[in-house]
Amino acid sequence: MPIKAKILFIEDDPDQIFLYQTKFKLEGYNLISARNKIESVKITLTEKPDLILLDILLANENGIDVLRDLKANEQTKNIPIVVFTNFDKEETINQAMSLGAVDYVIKSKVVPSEIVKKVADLLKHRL
Amino acid sequence: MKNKNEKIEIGCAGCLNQNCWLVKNLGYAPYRRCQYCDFRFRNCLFLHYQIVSIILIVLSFVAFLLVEGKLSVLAIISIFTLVIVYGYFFNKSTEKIVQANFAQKKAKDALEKFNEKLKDMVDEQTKDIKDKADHLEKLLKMRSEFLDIASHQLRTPTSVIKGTLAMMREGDMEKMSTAEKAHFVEGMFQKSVKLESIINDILVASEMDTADFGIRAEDKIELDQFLEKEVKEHQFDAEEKKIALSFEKLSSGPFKIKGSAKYLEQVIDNLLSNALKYTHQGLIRATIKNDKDNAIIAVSDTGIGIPKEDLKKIFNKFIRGKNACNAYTDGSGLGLFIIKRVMDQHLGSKVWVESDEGKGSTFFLQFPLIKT
Repeated sequence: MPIKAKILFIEDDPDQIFLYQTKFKLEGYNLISARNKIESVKITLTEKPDLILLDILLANENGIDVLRDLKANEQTKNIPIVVFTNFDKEETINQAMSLGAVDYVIKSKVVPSEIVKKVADLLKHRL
Repeated sequence: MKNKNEKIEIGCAGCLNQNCWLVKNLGYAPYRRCQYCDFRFRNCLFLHYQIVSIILIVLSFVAFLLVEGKLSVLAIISIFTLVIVYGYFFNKSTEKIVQANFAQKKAKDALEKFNEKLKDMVDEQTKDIKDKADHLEKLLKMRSEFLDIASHQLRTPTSVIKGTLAMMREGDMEKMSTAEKAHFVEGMFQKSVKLESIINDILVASEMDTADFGIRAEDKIELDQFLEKEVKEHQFDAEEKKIALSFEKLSSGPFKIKGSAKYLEQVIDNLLSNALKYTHQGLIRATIKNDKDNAIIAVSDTGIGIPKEDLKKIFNKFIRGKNACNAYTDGSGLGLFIIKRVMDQHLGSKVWVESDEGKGSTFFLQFPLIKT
């Protein structure tokens, strides 16, 4: 089966990385992961993912800063970023959307197949 | 005392005396200061009386010259008597008016003072209410921050468990290898353990908030062994984070204390977990030593430390150091609150912290030894 798209999942919890990696793999996607800001920017530049899923509460870092960095970089600013987190503070949601996130999805409110569908829809929209 | 050359204070009873001849006719008040107008007023009246007397003496002398020899000495004496009597009554009546003015002024002053006092009281109460409102607002903000973090902490394990179960329900498991399946089961188990510990923290903290909370601190504990066992239990997490975690006995003992094993386990677990959570490189040392009739445990780390302004309130509920919140690490702000409450329930025991922001923290636990 050809790989449908490459997704970068910026997340620090290994259990979640494993969960979504397995699900996306089963659906024909290649999901790679990054655990912090430096790694995220580096991997985005080298791997050029089609879409980024970004967590907000990263170990010692704020996902908003990662979003800001990726959107400020000429080479990465056009990659759609979906904030995918359990942190649902309204202020953060507004901040993320104004910084250019395409969507803000609360993890606990969707099951893995739903986020796969959302990603598929977003990518279809772009193509 | 006011300057002698200062202008007369308007409103002073003495100066407002409209019966004063000098004030009324010449627009001149002979006073220089009039807070004590009683004396000054008399002075004024004396002048008035003097002038009237002089005018009358001159007039009668002129009259005496004009009608030379026709008026008797008696007439002159009676004129003088009249003047004196007039002066006396004038003095009396004026004094009454002045006294009335003075009383009025005093009442006005008292009223003003009372108003000022009332205003001060109202101001003070307003400030008090404002302070309370600010405090409440701060508490609400803290609570909302806690809820943001706590809900994230509760949702993270839940979403993994729910996500895995959803995949099972949708038949994804059949497409997975045995190793993947085992990984999922282990992941779900670990997440439910974490969920349980967070819920436990919240429940314990709520329980500790009730007025009748009490701990039966009656277990006999060998504190050195107790601490060593807890350190061993955290060794795996430390290795995973590549942080050295050590246990050291700085004196030979004895370390036998009386306490609640169940709660003290939580205290030491919280201290070690915190040290691990906020230390990203370096080492964590758990030591025990004797100090007179006490045993002192110290857990020191080379972590992010606690900002000076947060040190005082770090044992309060829902409080986390500013840098800890910015670090976006999980933390309910309940761990240290629980430690403080448990230590308070152990007679003669205490907990305190020394910290240097950016360099690390040392938490101390002191317990009285059982006397042998």
